[in-house]
Amino acid sequence: MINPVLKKELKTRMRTWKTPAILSLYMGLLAGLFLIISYETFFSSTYYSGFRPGALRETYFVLIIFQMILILLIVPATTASSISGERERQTLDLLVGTRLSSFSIIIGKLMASLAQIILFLVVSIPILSILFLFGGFSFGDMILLFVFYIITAFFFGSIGVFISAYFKKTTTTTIISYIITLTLTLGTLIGTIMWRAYYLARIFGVSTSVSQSSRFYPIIMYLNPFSGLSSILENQMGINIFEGLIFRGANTPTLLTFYINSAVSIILSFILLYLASLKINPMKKFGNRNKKSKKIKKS
Amino acid sequence: MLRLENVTKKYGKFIAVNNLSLEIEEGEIFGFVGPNGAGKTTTLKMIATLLQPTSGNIFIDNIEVSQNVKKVRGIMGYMPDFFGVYDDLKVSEYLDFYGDVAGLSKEEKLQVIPDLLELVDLKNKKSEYVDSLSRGMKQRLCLARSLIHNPRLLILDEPASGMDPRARVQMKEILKELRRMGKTILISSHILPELSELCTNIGIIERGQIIESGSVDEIMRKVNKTNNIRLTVLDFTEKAMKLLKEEPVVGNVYNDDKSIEFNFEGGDKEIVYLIKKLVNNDVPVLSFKPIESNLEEIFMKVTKGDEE
Ligand SMILES: Nc1ncnc2c1ncn2[C@@H]1O[C@H](COP(=O)(O)OP(=O)(O)OP(=O)(O)O)[C@@H](O)[C@H]1O
Ligand SMILES: [Mg+2]
Repeated sequence: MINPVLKKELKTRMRTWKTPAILSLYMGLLAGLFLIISYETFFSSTYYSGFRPGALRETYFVLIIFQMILILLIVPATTASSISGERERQTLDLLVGTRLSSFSIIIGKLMASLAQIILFLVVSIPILSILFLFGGFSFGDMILLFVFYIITAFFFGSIGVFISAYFKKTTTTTIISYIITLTLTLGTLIGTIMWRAYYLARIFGVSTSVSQSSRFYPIIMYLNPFSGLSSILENQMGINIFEGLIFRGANTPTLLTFYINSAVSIILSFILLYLASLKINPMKKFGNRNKKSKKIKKS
Repeated sequence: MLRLENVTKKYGKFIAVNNLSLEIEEGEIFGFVGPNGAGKTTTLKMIATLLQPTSGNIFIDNIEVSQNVKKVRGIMGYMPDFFGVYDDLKVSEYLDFYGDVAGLSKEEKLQVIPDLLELVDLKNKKSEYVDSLSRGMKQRLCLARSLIHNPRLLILDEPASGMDPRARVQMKEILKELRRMGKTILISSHILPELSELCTNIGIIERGQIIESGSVDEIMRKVNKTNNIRLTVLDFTEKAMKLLKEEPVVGNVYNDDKSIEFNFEGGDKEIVYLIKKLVNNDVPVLSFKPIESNLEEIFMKVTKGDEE
């Protein structure tokens, strides 16, 4: 049976004017972007006025990153209000007091947000397919990309739901979710660059060769969805946007960073979802009650 | 049906519910009465598995609630004092959602929802958005929601709060209907007359403790033992007061022009004796009348007595 929370969220979200409006807007945006870049592709070169498949690849590159940024902008906003919004509307008690498990409530909320992202992705399929078709990518490339988008949305959605369960006000939860999103993207990148600068400075006296510096291994980048994305892009296009920032052995597959990034995201997601469901469960096993009764026993 | 054993709830150092024990039998309508901040909501929330007691145990159908939360939630329906509704749902969709949440099948929902709408008199509103309902209607809708899984025990936290007199009457009628259906109901209020007609039993709570409890009649009798009597005389007010004060069964005596009010502890024999004494001493007695003691007054008395 479909999760009741998800069912309700879908029903109410789909029938407002907002969802179709935002989707149309997004489609328009993609189409506009596509037209501008196609124009560039065909007419901008001073040397050759005709079809340049290479430019399609550039378009693809830009669109993929654009979509990732969009996911990172939408997901925290929609999930940050998921639980705190219920609390503010005074409907949370009516929900957690039912036979539906806390975990189902949390998952239903997250899935509703993911469904929205999936809609965005579906809308982008026609334009992306053109780019795939003429850009020389395989269908599998696109699937891989979409899978990663969904994993990323899942991870950042879990963060949003977790924050939403732990803080009361939706304004607070939204701000915190965006701060965390910024930290995990820009923050980890800046951190890595600084870390690398420090690392290079330390080994400067020994050797400045590339092989030395590239052995640098920034773990925090595995929290950054752009490292996984760059790994996919490198696999598909041979361009590494984080060249030198993430060390990978010569014989390891290009997609290794993608695998690690995905695994880290999924594991952390489940931990966060579990903690969120504990938080909203009034009858949780490790509640105040056990702590207090233990204290009493000790004293 | 429902049993609380030494239940205590602390918020930090503040004790909201203090070592409270209570038992409600199947089919009883238990009125839970107390002033603001007495701990009614806290107690009801603990029964509704929305709050864990700091200590003590709550049993529903002899199941300790924390041992089998899911089962207990199936037996009990809860209506909070303050609640919100999903205003982007229609009335029937609202009930449909909570039907899903309670795990009802499509067929069950189709059967139950029209009945509930009928019961709470919202049938002609079923395709309207919850947002457009009046406060009283929302409260009735929330009551219908708490009944969706056909619970045997109902926990209602001030279901008529904020309603106008007509809506209160309507709510009372619904509750009477539920009583006829054999539900066990625990209902809180700080307005007593509302409960006196409906309830079989009353518990008066103050500062987290039950200070009186029993059947409606029992409590009435308990308080009637110390009755208030109003005496009207044509003259000799001072003399009448002096005569009354001599008697041990008479408590405080107040006078208000020609009428005298006094506390009185005793039965019919003592009343006859008092009247005789007054008449024999040439006090022109015009009337001698016990003041009707309804629940509201009992409540005031009982709680006042605690404050002193
Ligand atoms: N979450 C909380 N944190 C701290 N104190 C609380 C909390 N909830 C309730 N209290 C306190 O516990 C006491 C009992 O509150 P409760 O809501 O149970 O009273 P009540 O009998 O329902 O009152 P009312 O008639 O106003 O609804 C009050 O003094 C209240 O201030
Ligand atoms: Mg209350």
